[in-house]
Amino acid sequence: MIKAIEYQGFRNLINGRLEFARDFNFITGENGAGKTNLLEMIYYAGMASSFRAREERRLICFGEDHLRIDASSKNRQGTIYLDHTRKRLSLQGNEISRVTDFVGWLGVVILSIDDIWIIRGSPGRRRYFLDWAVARISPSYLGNLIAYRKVLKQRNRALQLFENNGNVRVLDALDEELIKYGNRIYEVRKDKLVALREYYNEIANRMGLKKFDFSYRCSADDMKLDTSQLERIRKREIALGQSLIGPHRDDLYFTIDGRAMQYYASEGEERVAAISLKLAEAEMYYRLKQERPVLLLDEVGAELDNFKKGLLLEQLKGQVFYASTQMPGFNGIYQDRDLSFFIIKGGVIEVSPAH
Amino acid sequence: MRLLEELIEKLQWLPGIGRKSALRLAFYLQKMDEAKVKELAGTIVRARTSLKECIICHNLTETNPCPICTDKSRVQDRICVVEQPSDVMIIERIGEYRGLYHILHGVISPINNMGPKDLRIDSLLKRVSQNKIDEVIIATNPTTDGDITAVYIAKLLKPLNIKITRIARGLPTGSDIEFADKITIAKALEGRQEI
Ligand SMILES: Nc1ncnc2c1ncn2[C@@H]1O[C@H](COP(=O)(O)OP(=O)(O)OP(=O)(O)O)[C@@H](O)[C@H]1O
Ligand SMILES: [Mg+2]
Ligand SMILES: [Zn+2]
Repeated sequence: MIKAIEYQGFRNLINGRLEFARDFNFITGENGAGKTNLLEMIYYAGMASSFRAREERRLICFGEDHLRIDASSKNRQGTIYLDHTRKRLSLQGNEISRVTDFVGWLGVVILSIDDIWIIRGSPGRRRYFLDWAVARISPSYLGNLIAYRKVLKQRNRALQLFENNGNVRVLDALDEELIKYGNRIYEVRKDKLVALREYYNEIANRMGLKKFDFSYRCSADDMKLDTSQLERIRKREIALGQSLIGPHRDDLYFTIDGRAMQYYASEGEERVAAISLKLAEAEMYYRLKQERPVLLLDEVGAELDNFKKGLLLEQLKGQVFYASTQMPGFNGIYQDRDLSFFIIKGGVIEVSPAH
Repeated sequence: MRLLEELIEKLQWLPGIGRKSALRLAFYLQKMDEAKVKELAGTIVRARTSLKECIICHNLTETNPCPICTDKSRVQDRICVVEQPSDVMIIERIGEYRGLYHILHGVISPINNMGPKDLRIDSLLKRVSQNKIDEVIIATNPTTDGDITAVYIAKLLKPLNIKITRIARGLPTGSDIEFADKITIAKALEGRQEI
């Protein structure tokens, strides 16, 4: 839970300090007012990266030379300073040298309307979702993933060069490294996928009338790489100059009533699937860390019918930030909850009196 | 100013020297004692012309074979394989290791077009099979390429039936031997594991 945030030089937001409600924080404002920027800032405070800017420098307000964010939870305090040449992170006032030691001091999960592309988009998009959902709760996973990618790059190059001056023993060495890191990734994925699927089924089936499910499409036998599999396909890999099996070729296959979502689901159903997946990620985080991540909802639910919108709001657990051009409809669920309303105009955030 | 411009340009031939550093160095050299500058230039030229690769271990040396290879007090049946001559200097400075070395002069990296043929690997194989070698310690850096090279060498030497070890991963990943402090390297050498 994030209690307060103090900020300078972040995007279009005018420097200030905000205190948040324990349960629901509603953020409204016109297009371009800075709603997404506020959510992005909260995400950045916890993850030290953005969910939309590849280049972090873009986060610094036009014309400013640095940004600074101080965020505090119940018992922790994280600070990020960024200028055009360096980034400084600290926790409880102590400087942190490795980003991986900082990430996740504050758990955050972002839900946005772009999430529909996890369901609709390319397999790469789904792997990206899966990898980050897992990396967040399993620190060594990210390291293995990075190592795997580096080996993969070398291996693909070696396969392409093979016809000219290839060396079988080099390929053997690369196979061994690929197997080592690939299997470490598989071990963790295997374990986490069971949990993710269980929560996804629970949440999605509470929101929809049809049966939502997914399965893991694995390019390797039994989610395990070994030399005999790689030997079997080596000729083909050399011909194509590409590594054909491993965690980088797998996919999540989403179904609705047993049929492929990509072909048979309505847009609203795809949105339910995407939202459920993100909430399942949050649930997975909670079960492991015994602490609910902050949920950031950007315009989510706008396309859902009122009934589903109500169901969605009921599913949200922990501290919620809900940004929209319009206030959501109100029903009983807000009673006895700690609420705050923020109105943004041109980057100025005002706390509005409770409704 | 032509000469100054030329100096600035040529200083940039060195790795890690951009225009800014080159400028700084060039002006610094002008302020330095002339005799000192001559001494520096002379040493650079002398080092370059008289340092050669040792015919046995491929370390840089003035005498051939190098002082380490000819030092009979060193353990003769143990070879530590490293990427660069600078790695030898670091391990020697700690002074715990008493065996011999073999310098690869690089690592296997298909992306950079570096294969086994570009490294001193054939001579390692020859050296190990023709001498009574008890253990080969592979101390390439704990990077992707360093690991691939280590696995490659281990596979290559396997038929010879000798003990092959890899230094422990006590080194922070992603960093080169050069940047690791002495204690970590000493520990890494101590905690090497058979592969
Ligand atoms: N680095 C920056 N410095 C200053 N302003 C910026 C910076 N980056 C983005 N902006 C501006 O911030 C404004 C608000 O963006 P934001 O995405 O938060 O709007 P929003 O309230 O979410 O709008 P919408 O309802 O359209 O999604 C944009 O007009 C954008 O030009
Ligand atoms: Mg927005
Ligand atoms: Zn020598």
